Amino acid sequence: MSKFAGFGLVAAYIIHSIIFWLYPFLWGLVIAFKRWNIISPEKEFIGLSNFIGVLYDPLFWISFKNSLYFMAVYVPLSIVSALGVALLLSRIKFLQSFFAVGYLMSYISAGVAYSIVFSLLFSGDGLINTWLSKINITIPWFSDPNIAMASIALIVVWKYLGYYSLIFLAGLQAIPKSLYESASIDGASEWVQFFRITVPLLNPSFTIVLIFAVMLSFNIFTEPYMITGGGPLDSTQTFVMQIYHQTFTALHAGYGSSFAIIVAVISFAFVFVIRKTVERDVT
Amino acid sequence: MINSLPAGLISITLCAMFSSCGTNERDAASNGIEYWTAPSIELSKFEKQVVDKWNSTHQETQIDWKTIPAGNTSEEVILTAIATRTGPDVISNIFGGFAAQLADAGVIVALDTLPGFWDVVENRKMTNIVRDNWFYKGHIYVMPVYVNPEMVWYNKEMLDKFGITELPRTYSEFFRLLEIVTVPNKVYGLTVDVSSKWFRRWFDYLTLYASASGGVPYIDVDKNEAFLDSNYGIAVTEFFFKIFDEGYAPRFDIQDGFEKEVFFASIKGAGSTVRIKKLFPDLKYEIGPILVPDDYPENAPIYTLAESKGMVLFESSNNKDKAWDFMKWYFSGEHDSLWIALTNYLPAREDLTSNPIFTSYFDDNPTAKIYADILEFTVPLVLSAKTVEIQTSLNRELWQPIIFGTKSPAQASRDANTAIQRILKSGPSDF
Repeated sequence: MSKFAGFGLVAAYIIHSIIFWLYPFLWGLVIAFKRWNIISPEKEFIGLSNFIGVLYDPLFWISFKNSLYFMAVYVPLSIVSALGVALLLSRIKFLQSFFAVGYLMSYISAGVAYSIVFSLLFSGDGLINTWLSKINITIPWFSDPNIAMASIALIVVWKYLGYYSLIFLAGLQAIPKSLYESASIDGASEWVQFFRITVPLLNPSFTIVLIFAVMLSFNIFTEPYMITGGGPLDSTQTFVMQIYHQTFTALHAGYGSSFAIIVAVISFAFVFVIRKTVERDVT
Repeated sequence: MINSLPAGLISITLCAMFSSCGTNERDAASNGIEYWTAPSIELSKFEKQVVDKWNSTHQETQIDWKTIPAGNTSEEVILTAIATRTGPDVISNIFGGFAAQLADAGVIVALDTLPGFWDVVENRKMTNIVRDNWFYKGHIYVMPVYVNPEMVWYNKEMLDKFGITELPRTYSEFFRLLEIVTVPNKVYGLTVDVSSKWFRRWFDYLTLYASASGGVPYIDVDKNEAFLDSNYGIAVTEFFFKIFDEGYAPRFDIQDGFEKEVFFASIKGAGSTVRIKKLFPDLKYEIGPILVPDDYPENAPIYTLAESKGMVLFESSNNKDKAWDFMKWYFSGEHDSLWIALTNYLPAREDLTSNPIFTSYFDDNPTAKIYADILEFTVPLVLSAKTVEIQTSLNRELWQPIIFGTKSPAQASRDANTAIQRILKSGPSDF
C-alpha cells in the first residue's frame, strides 16, 4: 500500500478532527482573550480579563462545589451499579446480548425527552410522590436544595448504567477463566476470587469508567438545565450551564470560552490524577 | 448531555465559521422577504392569512413566511441565525430587552429613520405607546405588535363557597382570604413559579412591583439606578416571603395548579384565556386587579406589567425598502380585528375600547375587555440590553432566597438592588 493510500484511509478522521476539534479549540482559545457578543463583528482584545473574571465569579465556585457533590454521589453509585449489572450479565448464558443492549437503551435516549419524563415523574405532584403520599411521605426531589443534585445524579446513573456495564462486561470477559479455576482448586471462596482476581484485573475497566464518570461530572448540562434550571438556590448550577448561559443568553462569548477552558483544565487535571493513582498495568 | 467539554466552543466556532462565509445568498438571489413569527398555533393562523393576502396582491415582493425554528428560546434561535447569516429580513415576537441587545450590536434598523414611520404609528393609534415605551438610545427599533397585561384570577367556585363577593385589593385583604380558603398542602393560595428561569420574574415579582410602585419601573436605565430596596420594593418582597413562609404556595411547581383548582388565585395575562377555554372549559374564574400594598392610595389607579412583543427589521436585509413596505402594510391597522379574533392577544393600540372594529370581539369576550380597560395603566418591560443579567441576578439574590427563607425580605431586596446596580453601572459589556 502506498503512503498516499494510507493518508487516504485516515483522511476522514483527520479532516473531521480539524473541523470539529482543532479549529473550535483554537478559535475558543482566541476568543477567550476577547470581548465578543457573537452577533457583532467587533472583537476587542482584553487580555486575561475574562479568565480573571471567571475565577472571581461566585457562580464558578458554586458550580465547582456542585460538580464535586454530583461526583461524590454519581461516581460510586454508577460504578457499583454498573459492576453489579455486568456481573449479572456475565452469568447469563442465554440472550446475554439482548439484555446488554436492553440496558443500553437509556444511553441512547434523548436527554431532553427523558429529562421531561423524570421531571414529571418526580415533581411535587408527580407519580412517585403520589405513590409515596399513600404512606405519608413526600420527597422534594428537585425542590430541596440539599437533595436536588443527588436526584439529578440518580437520573444520570440510570442513563449511563448500560454503557458502563458493557465496559465492565468486556473487562470481565477478558479475565482468563483458568485463574478462577485455579483459585477454586486452591479453595478460594467466591468473595476472595472477586476481590483478589476480578477487582484487580478489572482495573482497566475501572479506570475507563472512572475517567468517563469524572469527566461527565464536569460536563453535566441537559438534566439540570431541563429539570431545575440550576435551582433551587443554585444547588444544581453546573459549569456547562454557566458556559451556555454566558455565551448564548448573556452574549458573553469570550467569557464563556474562557470559562470552558478553565473547566477543561480542571477536568484534565482530575483525569491526570486518576490515571496516576488508579491505573495499573495488568497485562 | 453535552459529552465533550468544548461543546460550547464548537457551537460558538460554527457560528463564527458560517458567519464568515460571505454574503447572505438568499438575499442576493431572491427578491422576496423572509419573515419569521412566533411558533404558536393561534398566531400562525393569523400570519398565514395576512401573508397570503399580501402575496396575492404583491406579486413583485413575495413574503416567505416561517415560524421561528424550534429551539430552547426564540432568542437563541434568532441569534444563531444572525451569526450564521441565515436569518430573515423581518422577525416578529421580539421583546424589548432582546431588541436592545440587537440594537447595541447594530444588527437591526432604527425604524424611526425610515420614511413614513410616524404616520404608520399614528394611523395605528399607538403614538403614546411607541413614544413612551419603545425609545432606546434615541431611536425606535421595534414596532409593537401586542401587549399582554397581567391580572389576578380567582377560582369562582372557591369564592362562592366561602361567600366572598368582593375581590381583594391589598395584600392584607388577600391574606385574610387565604386564611379562609387555603387548606395546608391541599389548597394553596397563589400560583408562584419557583423556577430559576430569568424571564419568569415578569409574571410575579415585577408585576407586583409595577403595581406597588404606581407604575414606576424598577430600574432607571439612563441613570443606572435600581429601586428594589425602596419601600414598595421591600413590600413586594415581604408579600412573596409571606406567601412561601405561610405555605400559601409550595416550594415546588404544580403544573396547571390553578386550572386543576389546587390554587385559589393566579397571576395571568390576557393570552391565557384561549388555553383555558380549550383545555379547562369547566373552570370558572373572576379577574381582579394586581394586588397592592396596604398603604397604596385608596383612589389611585392600579398599574400592572404588560409583556409586549414586536417586529424588527434586520440591517442584513438586502430588501429593506420592500420589507419596510410590508411592515407599513402590516401595521396599517386593517388587520387588527382579525389579529385579536384569531390570537386573543390585545393589539398594541390605544383605541381598543373605543374603536368599533373591536366591539363585537369584546362583546363575545368580556374577559379580554377587562384587560383592554386597564391598558392605560400598564407598565412596559424595561428596555435594557442587560435584561437577562438583571433578572438572573434578581432570581439569585432575591427570588430564590425568599422562597427558601434564607434571607429576610429587606436583606434580599438590598442584595438584589446592589447586584443589579452593579450590572447597570458596568460597561456596555465587560466580557
